[in-house]
Amino acid sequence: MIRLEKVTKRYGDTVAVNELSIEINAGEVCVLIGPSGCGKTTTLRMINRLIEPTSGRIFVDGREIRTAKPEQLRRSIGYAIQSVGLFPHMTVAANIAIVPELLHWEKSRVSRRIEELLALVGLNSVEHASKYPNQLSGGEAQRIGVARALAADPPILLMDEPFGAVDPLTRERLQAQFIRIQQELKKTIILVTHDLDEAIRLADRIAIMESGKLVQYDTPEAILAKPVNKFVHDFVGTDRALKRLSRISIKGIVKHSPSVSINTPIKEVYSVCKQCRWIWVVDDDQRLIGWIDRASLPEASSIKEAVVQGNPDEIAVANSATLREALSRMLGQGLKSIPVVDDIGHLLGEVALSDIEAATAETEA
Amino acid sequence: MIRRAVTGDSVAVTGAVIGLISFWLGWLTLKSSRISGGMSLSLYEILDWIIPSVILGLWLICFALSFIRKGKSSVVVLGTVANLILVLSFVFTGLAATRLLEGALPYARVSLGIGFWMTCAASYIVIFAARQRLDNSPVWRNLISWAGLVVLLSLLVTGWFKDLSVVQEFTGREERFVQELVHHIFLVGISVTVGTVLGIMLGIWATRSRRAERPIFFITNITQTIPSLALFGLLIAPLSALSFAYPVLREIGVRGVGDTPAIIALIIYSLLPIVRNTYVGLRQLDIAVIDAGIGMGMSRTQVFLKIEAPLAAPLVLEGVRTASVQSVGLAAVAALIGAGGLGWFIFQGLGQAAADLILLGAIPIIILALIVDTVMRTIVRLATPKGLAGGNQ
Amino acid sequence: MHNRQISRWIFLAIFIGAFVVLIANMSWWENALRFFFPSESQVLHPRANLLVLVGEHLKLVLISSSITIIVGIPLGVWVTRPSGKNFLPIITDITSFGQTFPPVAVLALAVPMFGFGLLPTVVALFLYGLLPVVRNTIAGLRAVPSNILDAAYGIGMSRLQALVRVEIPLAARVVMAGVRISVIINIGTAMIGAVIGAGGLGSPIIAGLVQDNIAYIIEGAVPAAILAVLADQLLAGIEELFA
Repeated sequence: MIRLEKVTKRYGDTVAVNELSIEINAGEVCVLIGPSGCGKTTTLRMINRLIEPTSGRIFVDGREIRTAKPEQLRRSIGYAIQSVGLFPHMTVAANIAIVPELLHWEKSRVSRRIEELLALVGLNSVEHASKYPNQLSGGEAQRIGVARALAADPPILLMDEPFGAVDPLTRERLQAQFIRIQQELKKTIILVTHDLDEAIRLADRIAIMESGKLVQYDTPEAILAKPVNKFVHDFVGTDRALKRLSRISIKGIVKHSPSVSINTPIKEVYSVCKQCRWIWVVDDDQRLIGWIDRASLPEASSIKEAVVQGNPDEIAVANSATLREALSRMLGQGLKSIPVVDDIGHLLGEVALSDIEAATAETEA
Repeated sequence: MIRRAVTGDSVAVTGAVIGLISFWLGWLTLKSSRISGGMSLSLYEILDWIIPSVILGLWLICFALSFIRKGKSSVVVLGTVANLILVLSFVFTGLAATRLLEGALPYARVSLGIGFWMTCAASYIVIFAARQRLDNSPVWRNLISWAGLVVLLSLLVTGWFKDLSVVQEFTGREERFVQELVHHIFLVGISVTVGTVLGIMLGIWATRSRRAERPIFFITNITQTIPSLALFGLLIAPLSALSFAYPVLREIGVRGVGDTPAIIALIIYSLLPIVRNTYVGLRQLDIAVIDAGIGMGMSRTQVFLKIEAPLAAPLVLEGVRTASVQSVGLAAVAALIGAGGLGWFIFQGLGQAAADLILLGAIPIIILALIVDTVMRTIVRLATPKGLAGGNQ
Repeated sequence: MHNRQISRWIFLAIFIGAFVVLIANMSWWENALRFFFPSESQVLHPRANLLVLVGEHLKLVLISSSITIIVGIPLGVWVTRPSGKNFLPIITDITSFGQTFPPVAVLALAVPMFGFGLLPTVVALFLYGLLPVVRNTIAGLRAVPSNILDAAYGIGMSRLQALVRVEIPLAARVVMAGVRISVIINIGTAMIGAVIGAGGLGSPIIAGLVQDNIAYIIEGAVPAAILAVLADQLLAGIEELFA
């Protein structure tokens, strides 16, 4: 879909991008990452001709981008930057409407699109459409920036540190939203970031750059498992194994675990699981309440007495969680296995530390 | 394609083209008397072909040189040639003026024509263009900027231009000229000084008292928009009445017209830039800095003297600069109400329809304003404590 | 529009209306001036009534300011574009040292070239008024944050579209401030134009100075002062609309 062929950018004696050749498939999220000055932003801006390459060719959809006027190219590519760059003298709606208007869409189509996009990025259109940029919070502004980039429904999206300028909590939410939106829209996205965790979370493939050269271009798992040289190895850090855990869902390793209802007579607990030291306790609706330690059974007269109550938010993980979250929970709570619940709190099963070890050993091989 | 060919220094090219055009225009005007119209003559009509052709040739060299983009030496040569043109233009002008008067009527006068002025403008443009490209060699840069003017000044002083009408207006009135020049400086000096003192006081008051702030700015803003002639007029009436009622004021020189209303008006006009800059200068200070000072044990006065004043000083001095330059111009208008100063020559010249008398007033005023501006800018720069990022231009 | 702005416009309308009424009624002036200056034989300048004088004055200012805007704003735009940026340093230099020139000197220098009357005055007003307009246009355009310009080009605006839709709206207020400064200076300089025969409110003042008649001076000075203040408030109101 997008192909760069030996693209070079020189500024006087400095080489910002050095014979970069890369091919990005349609519907893929490619993340450009590397240390400061590696050329990732320059590369991004060459794709929409904000910067012209010194040599080399760039193809979008088979056609060389040099053939058309730059404005026309850019109207078919979405562009979202870190500082957002919303036009301060226009309302949110007017900001989003710019490219559709430049493409001469009819007014009704434009207003429908504005509503669609605000809903897509999770903002109330009635509330936000007529606001001015200086009335928005950081997270809202970033989302409007993305909405504006998507306004004309371009097949390609270029994003330069789009979630950089907000606090970690908002950034996390924005990233989750990004994943959701991309699953729905399947755009071809090139995203520049300096945050490796973000890259690992969002990318289909990561392109690691250094001093203008492409060093490794592969899936996050592959990069984490097999860094191609010392630079990449050091770049991804010594906690590669942990980072990989964030790419694997627990769905594969959740197993059934024995549980008892809180109203069960205490004698029956023994028969539920003969070897288990701990057993999960649920209420009549199968919702998790806590656990029970076999050792405390002899002294207790009912489960209600013996149960150690636990807040599901603290001790359980959702079914959609990653191995990394599960491990983090275990370490935080000091448990060797943790319950898995659905969004209402029903106990679905459990994940054990030994299972996580087994899962990572598999992927390593 | 044409765009590729013309990769020269477009500013220098423009200057050279203007210079080439101006060469053919009327250089000097020969008038039968100081107040009549005259015959406009170009340089080659007055002097033999050879002498003015030098200038033409130099312009062509400038034109050609402007297309050479690379190399410091070509820029230096360009600048030197432009300076040469400037100097030679003046030299030939002086020569031509003398030559013209030789065979003319006794009261005939020689004035500078449009060709001459355009040539000066054109050489300024080329010198500026050359100067721009000499950023990394301050020696050459200053040489190119000032050498020509220095030569011209020495020519002026040695009387090379004595046959130009402007100079002749001066020769008849040297004493008066000096007198009015000194008086002009006096008017500006005294009003800016008083205005500064008052302005700083008002500015400080405005920062300290919220209630005083609005009326102070309201009044100074309003007075600034009043046209100078109108303000002079408005002051004349009450001052006349006062000096009429109290003859003692007349004794000490306070009258309805003349210096008194002029100085009062100039003081009023000086207020706004100084009050505003004092206010902003003090307001913009980081509260943390003052806090630190007090925390260290400085008294309020010490904080003011050692922290606030030095940090606000550059901005206040900028205000003084604005007020001074403004006052030079306003004092010229004050000549209308009898305050004298260099404006006297302008209005005399306008009244007599004597163009060169006007020039005798206007040019020194412009030069005076430029000198005051440059001196004040230097003072501002000196007063800016090292470490303060940039300055206010 | 906020309430404060609305009340400001209402006040302005009232004052302007009052001013027009004031200058239309010469008899009020006659009576007032006679009261203050009983010794003068004539209190009203015979040349024209105030309405005409104000009209002349406004005509001068409006003509020169219009030409200034038509020439100055495009010039300021041009030197901030790639095609004109070679000329930015010299234009900046000229506008900044041009400001040190006293306006009266510019006016006086126009006479040897253009004679007396309306023409040299308009030329001088136009030239001198050009400086703040050009300077503010340049400053306003350069103050547009570069990331906003980047976003504008990035999403697909051509240079012209970015100029018209983003840069100029964002620079408008600063440009308007320059226009305001230019007009106010022009009102003041036009007064001196009376000396070279351009008419306007300076005429009675000059006549009063020459003939030692203070009533004439007041007749010219008071309306001139009010006119200037009203014009300034009007332009300030317009400037705020661009916020």
